Amino acid sequence: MNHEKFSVTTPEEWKDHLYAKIDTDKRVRIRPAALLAAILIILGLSGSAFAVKVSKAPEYFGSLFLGDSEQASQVYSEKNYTLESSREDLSLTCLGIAGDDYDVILIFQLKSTGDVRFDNNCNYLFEVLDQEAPFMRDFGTSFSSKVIDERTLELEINYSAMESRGLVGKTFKFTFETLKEYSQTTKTIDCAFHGKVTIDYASSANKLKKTDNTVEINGIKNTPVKGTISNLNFDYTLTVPGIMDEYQTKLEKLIGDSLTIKYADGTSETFRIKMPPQEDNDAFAGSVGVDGNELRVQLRLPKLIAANQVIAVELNGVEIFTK
Amino acid sequence: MKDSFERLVETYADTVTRICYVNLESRADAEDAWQNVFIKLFKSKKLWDKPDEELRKWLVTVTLNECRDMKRKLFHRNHSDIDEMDVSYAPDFDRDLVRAVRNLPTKYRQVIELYYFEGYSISEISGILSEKENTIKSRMKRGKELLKGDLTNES
Repeated sequence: MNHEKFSVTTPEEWKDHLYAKIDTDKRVRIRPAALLAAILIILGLSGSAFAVKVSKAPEYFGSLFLGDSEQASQVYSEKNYTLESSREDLSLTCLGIAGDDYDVILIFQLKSTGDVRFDNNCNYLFEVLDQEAPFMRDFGTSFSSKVIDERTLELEINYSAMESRGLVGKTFKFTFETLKEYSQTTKTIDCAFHGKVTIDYASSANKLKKTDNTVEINGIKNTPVKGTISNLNFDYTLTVPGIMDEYQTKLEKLIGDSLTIKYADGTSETFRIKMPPQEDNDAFAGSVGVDGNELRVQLRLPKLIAANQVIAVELNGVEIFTK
Repeated sequence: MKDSFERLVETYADTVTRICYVNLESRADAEDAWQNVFIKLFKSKKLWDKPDEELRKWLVTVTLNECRDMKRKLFHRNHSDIDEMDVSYAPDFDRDLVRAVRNLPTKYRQVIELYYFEGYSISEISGILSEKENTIKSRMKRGKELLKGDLTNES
């Protein structure tokens, strides 16, 4: 197996960063007991009056059940959950959960009320412990973070298609153990969160009704047949003429210029649809798939929206879904 | 233990880097994906003693998934261009072809890349990508057609 036609040399600094990261992780792993001891020692020595709530041993942070794909396409939650934090100056809230048979996405917001500041130049990671489905750690689980302001960090955890398919019909659990901030100075914030997040299936109130509109996008006539909207995604299914195994090519033609979300209070938001996204406020196709002669498209919105306030969605100025 | 892991990194680093290079546009994303892959390997100690073929296949699968997820990440930062990477080509190899492969849609790019750059057979690629062999063959055919069109237009 030696078909190598070109070689890419791994930058040495990548290896250095990797080894530094692993060393940091090792230090973190001894934290729970050591941290408690250290805090008690510090409190004892300093006589400080401030209270520190120490987390218990890591507990299940939440549980999620994925049903069959029809149900799974409707899984999301609009409830806010504030989780118990081991530090009083850091709080974690679950802003939203979206899911289908491609992705399960959890959005969290971390707020600092103390000295911790978030910096765009740092990477922030959650470590997920998943005892029941260890392969979740091996394949495709991804994290991303966005600094909203220096006291607010938004985190996204994305379990992708491969795992979701494997987990349909099963219950799995995951635990957040440690929040870390690391930079070139490997500064670490150690904080545990625990609590339970319940995933609710979407209620019918949040499903958008089918309309009979036919939409022409870039010369292709499409008939949207159903759609759902969540805090983060707009999923729709449409029929497309022609052979569906070229859906990727078709999708590129289908991508329109704008997606407008209209709210009950009369306001609206318009996003460009680009694949891949070019600007921070671009919507893009998170996943696509084919079912018979239907093309399923999931447009990933570039920000969280209030899904229960949405009354209509327009694609290229044509209203394709109304509530 | 650290020595064993570092030996694995040295053995497979460039393979993982090459896949990141073909599949991602930015050097920073490539490093993130690359690091995630090896952190997963670090945490999967049971894999360390696996035969080369099995471990390499695992790394290829995990790297492709990481690249896919990296491209689908909601929040993108400003990145340096991946063409800043240190890349060398065999004397008779056309570097424009690599650029053309990188421009292919993902499903074609993965098949072409695994077949021609990583040396996997159709049946092995079928296993890695969890697709039927006929699907892989049709993607290969379509991918080559797209490449031909791209390279012909350039010339």
